[in-house]
Amino acid sequence: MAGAVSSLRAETVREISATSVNQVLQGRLAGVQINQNSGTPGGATTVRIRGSSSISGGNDPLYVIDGVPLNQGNFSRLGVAFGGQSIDALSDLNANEIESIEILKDASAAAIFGSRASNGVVLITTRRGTSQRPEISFGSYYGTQDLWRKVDLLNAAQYFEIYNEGCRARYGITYDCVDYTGDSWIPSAPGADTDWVDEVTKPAPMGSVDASVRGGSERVRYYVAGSSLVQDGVVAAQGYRRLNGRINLDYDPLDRLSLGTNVALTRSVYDRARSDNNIYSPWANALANPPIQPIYTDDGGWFETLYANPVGMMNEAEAQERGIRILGNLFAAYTFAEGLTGRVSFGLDNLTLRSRSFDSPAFGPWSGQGGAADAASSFVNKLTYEARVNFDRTLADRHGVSGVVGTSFEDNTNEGFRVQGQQFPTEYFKYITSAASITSGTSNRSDWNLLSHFGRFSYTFDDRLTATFNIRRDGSSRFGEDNRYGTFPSASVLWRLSDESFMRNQDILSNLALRVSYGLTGNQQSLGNFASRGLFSGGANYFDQPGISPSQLANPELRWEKTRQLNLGADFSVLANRLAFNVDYYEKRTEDLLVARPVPRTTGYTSIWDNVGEMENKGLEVAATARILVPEYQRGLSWTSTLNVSRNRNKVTALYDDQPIGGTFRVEVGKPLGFIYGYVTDGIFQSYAEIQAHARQVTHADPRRATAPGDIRFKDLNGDGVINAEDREMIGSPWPDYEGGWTNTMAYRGVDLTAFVQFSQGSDIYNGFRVYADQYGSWGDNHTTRAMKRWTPENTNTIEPRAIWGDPNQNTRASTRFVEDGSYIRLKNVILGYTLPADLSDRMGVRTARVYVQGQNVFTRTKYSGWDPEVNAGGTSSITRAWDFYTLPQLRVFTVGVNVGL
Amino acid sequence: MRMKYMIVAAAILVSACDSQLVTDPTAAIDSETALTTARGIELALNGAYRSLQFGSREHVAYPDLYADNLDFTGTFQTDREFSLRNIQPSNGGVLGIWANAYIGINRANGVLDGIPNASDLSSSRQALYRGEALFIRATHYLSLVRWFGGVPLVLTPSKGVGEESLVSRNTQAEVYARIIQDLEEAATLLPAGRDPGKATRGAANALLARAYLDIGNHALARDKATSVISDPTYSLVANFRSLYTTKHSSESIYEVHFTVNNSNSLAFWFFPQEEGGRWGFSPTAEIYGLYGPTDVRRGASINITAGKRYIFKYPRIGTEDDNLILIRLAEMYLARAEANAYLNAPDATVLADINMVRNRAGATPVSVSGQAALLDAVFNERRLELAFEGHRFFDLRRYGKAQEKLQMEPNRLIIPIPQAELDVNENLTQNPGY
Repeated sequence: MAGAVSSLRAETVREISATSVNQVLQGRLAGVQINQNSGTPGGATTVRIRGSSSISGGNDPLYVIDGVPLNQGNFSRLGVAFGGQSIDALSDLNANEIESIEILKDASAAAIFGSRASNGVVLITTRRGTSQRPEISFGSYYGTQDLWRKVDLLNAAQYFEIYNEGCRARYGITYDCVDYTGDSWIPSAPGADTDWVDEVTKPAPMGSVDASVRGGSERVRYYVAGSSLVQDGVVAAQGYRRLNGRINLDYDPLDRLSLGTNVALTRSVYDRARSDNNIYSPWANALANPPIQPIYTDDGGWFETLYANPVGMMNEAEAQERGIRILGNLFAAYTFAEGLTGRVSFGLDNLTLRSRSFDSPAFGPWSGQGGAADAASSFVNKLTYEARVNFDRTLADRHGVSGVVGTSFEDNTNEGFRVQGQQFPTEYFKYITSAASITSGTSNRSDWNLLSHFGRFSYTFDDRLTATFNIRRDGSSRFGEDNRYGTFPSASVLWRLSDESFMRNQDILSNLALRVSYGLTGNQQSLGNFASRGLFSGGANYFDQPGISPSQLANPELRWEKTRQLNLGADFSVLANRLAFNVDYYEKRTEDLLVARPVPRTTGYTSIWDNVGEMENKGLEVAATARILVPEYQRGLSWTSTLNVSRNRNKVTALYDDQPIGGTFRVEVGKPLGFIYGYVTDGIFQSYAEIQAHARQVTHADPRRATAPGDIRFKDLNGDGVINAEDREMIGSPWPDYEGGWTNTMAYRGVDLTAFVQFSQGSDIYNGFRVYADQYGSWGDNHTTRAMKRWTPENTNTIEPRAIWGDPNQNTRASTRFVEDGSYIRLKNVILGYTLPADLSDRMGVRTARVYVQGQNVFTRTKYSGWDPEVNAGGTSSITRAWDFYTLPQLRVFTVGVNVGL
Repeated sequence: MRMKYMIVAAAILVSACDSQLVTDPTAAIDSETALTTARGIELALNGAYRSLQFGSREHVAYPDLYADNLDFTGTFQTDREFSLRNIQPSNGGVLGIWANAYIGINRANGVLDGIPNASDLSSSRQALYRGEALFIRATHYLSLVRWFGGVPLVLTPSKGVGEESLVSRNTQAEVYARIIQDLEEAATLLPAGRDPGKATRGAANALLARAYLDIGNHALARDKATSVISDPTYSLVANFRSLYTTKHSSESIYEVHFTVNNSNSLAFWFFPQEEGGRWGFSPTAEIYGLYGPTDVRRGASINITAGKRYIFKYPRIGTEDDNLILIRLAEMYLARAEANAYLNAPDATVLADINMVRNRAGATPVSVSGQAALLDAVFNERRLELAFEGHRFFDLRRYGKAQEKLQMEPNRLIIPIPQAELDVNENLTQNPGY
């Protein structure tokens, strides 16, 4: 293969007790950036292969399992606000069933998936049967999860001090506005000093059991696996449970004919809670609620806290989603002649998600409406058909020709309904059948199809030189008639120099291969199904009469987003292959970016789907593997170290009319996608003289409502004497300078130790939590203990502003104040295992037996002051990424496990 | 034999054909054909009415929050900027007011444009629908011009986003002129009497009275108010509170209708947490203290739970289907009183209208004389009567009292053009001072 491909073998996949495929991949492969969005059980991850190549066309790679493209993303129709913490259909996959994962990164490797390969392709191959006696494997682990750090928040005494200072500054009063008495502005209860985070979180267990059998005869081979995973949430309302089953079967009825089927069933259950900044989120409210409020009232009810009582919300609100996933394919391959085979396959990915939520009539966001419940279902179906012919011949002993031509068709349906009801008799009635009022009901369906023809031709000369040419033509129903098809060619050359005669006489390089590839790939992932059409939608009803309204402007010119990618690669190794390197340099240029381009609202529309703008990603990836100690030489001691480092430079190079998009997270020509945009702080005003001397910030006839000493000075960037929206600039970037992973694996006799360190350097995080939390003495939110360093006439040497109710100077506007270094280095995973010696396991009647202990997120070093630097409150957004907004942090997990083979 | 397989394989390869690449939406129709029939126009007109529901929370809260009737007690930065009277052009609430109005305007324009092309539409229906669409469009423009000053007058439906969509601002006078032209025409097309939730002649006249008052045409404001007051369709309800507990009362002139399946979140936003709301805003101590001891309007407008004052004019927290009274008869009495005061009508004429409103509320009658005192009396009465109905700031500004009372800079008397709009339309200019 001449393309840029990273792969992960079975051992790596299976040796860690990971809950998801993405968790296995995280940090292990160069150029593959994977971030868990939060510590939410079963929650989504953000995956970027070689950066982002799209603004709103979608940036997730294509996942293909055993040849079947997967339904990806969040299909929940539930109307509860989970912030950026969505569920993800990828969570359904069981990592234990995987034999190998290949990541296709460049245009040539990915070309066979042409239309959707702009963001890379993740090819997953599951385990298959063997023509051997049955091999039974059993594994189990159990562990506990907890927060790895706590951000210090104020206690009651500190809270009183700051808030009373804030009220006095704003209103000139002399009494305490906040205290334990009944007329406190923020209601309290005598003596209350609640650590809400402690009340809302607790260490939570997780565990898994899995078993598999594989074997077969000459003509029939099978692999059967099953597993169960249970992951409780540290916020008790959350949790994730999953059951997986799989049968992979191969049957060769004739010498020339082989048939096979893969069937995987998944049942997943998500217990969910409102997340991120939602004002009914248990976690967010644990951070925001004043410590001076108790959990319970004197008569045992929920205390009416400033933000909905987080312990109450954790106990009273319910949201659950249950998925049933059927993933499978059937295939038949026939060998027409030596080197000429045909293969037809039929694939199915069918997901049914049943969801419900309930909010009590007695407490919470819908108590005013007598409680509320949702019932929703999604039916997501993807059918794929593929036919292809492969040929592979070697002529005259040294001219290898191979290739494939084929066609595929994909039929997608997304169907579902949602019903909402309110007015429940009591909190014991949780289903809509008991609701007095059905407030809304929706049911809808949407289809899209993809038809593709593809071909690959490869010529190899004497195993030294390989040239490959690919072409794929895709038609998508999402585009208008004239622009339905896109053609995506690519080519690559691999030259194995070490096999050339002139290299035979050197002994430095044990292997050397050079790769070059160039090609075109496409994208339409996040495009609406009918984005090119001018539409009037139903549902614009009034007074119980149906109505229609213009909902979308036509754009018949809409066409595929295209990415051109150049890849230069080298693979070389020295010291008899004990030290191996893979180096890749790439340039990706995306044009015809699919953007829901903002249009003047005076048109009555918000945006139009259009092909506008260009973006580039340039990067360097280095992967090195060192077999430092080899067992043959070191009396059984082995030590392998692999390091991958990648650097990606993202830049938006053109936009429609050079118009910027977005607010605090912004898209602008010449800048990286989703950079952070805001004001620049310049210390604290110490006197009115300083305020007078500076550009006009906030003035008011009432000096208590204007900028005053102790407030933040913002830079007048354009020098016009006024601080306004024009004084904002790029103040941070979500993109790291470099990132990577370092894995060390050591084994001695039966003992194995694997330590995996993940690192990311140079990215910024916009700590949106502090916008509210560090608004000293204002609105009642609890603060971080940073507040104790605030400016006072006695404490002037500080960067923290004064306490004042209402924050007249808008000290909390988006500024450099909340942009923090998001760099981190983290001992992501460490495993210590012991495998029983063969004679001992023989005596026990087992083939192999291993016990291990594992730690995840064991140790983290970061300057980031929030809960976790690996954070993403923006969810699936391409633009909003480096954002922390009351996001549940990653957890530290310790597990013990056992693997037994029979 | 081998050939046969090859043929089969080839057949499979080409079998998937182009027609499978056509899929159709299930909840939308193509825009070219949407407005070509009478039924299409009717449906689109309902869609245009629907647009009057947009931004009901901002319609109710912002004019009072930007003034002295409401305190900010919520969490939204956008609301806070209104309460501080320090609005940034990036404020999402500002964009909402702007965008919602233009969505409604485009919907109304679609109906106006489509009426002549709908072959099976009778001429009487043509006139009725045109009147309704003009009323809806004028309502949106009145909201726009009051908040932003002069705005672009868009009078045809949008077909694309070419150069023609990069509109420039018209002057405030031009916008008012168009509002008045549209409403005057609507008044001739719309039926008299009551049709709940629909535009009527009375509604057009009432809105005209408001618009004429805004531009200082007091004679016409008086005449339009009088035409509504003398219309037997409308009468003040005896029980002030029933205005907010009964839909489409005899006093209501135009009311945006909401249902359980098509609800708003007014009560949710205004009620305190103890009552199942969010309490984003709280009536100020000042307005709470202004009502006289016998005035039933205090209790009907402001309620208190757990020490929290809250807006009580939208009380259907359980079902969230409070209607939004856009304009009602009491405003017409006060509009006529204001116009008459400017026109130097006899004191008694002005006082009669004011006291009509006060008497109904159980408040003691006012008795003052002289233009200034009469204007003050109307001004004060409007605050008490029309609190939380979308008036306060505009009243303060019309009376020239906003700057002094609210301690605000003159530039802040209109809000900024949304930054997002300036970003995509180079022909738009920002209001001074932003």
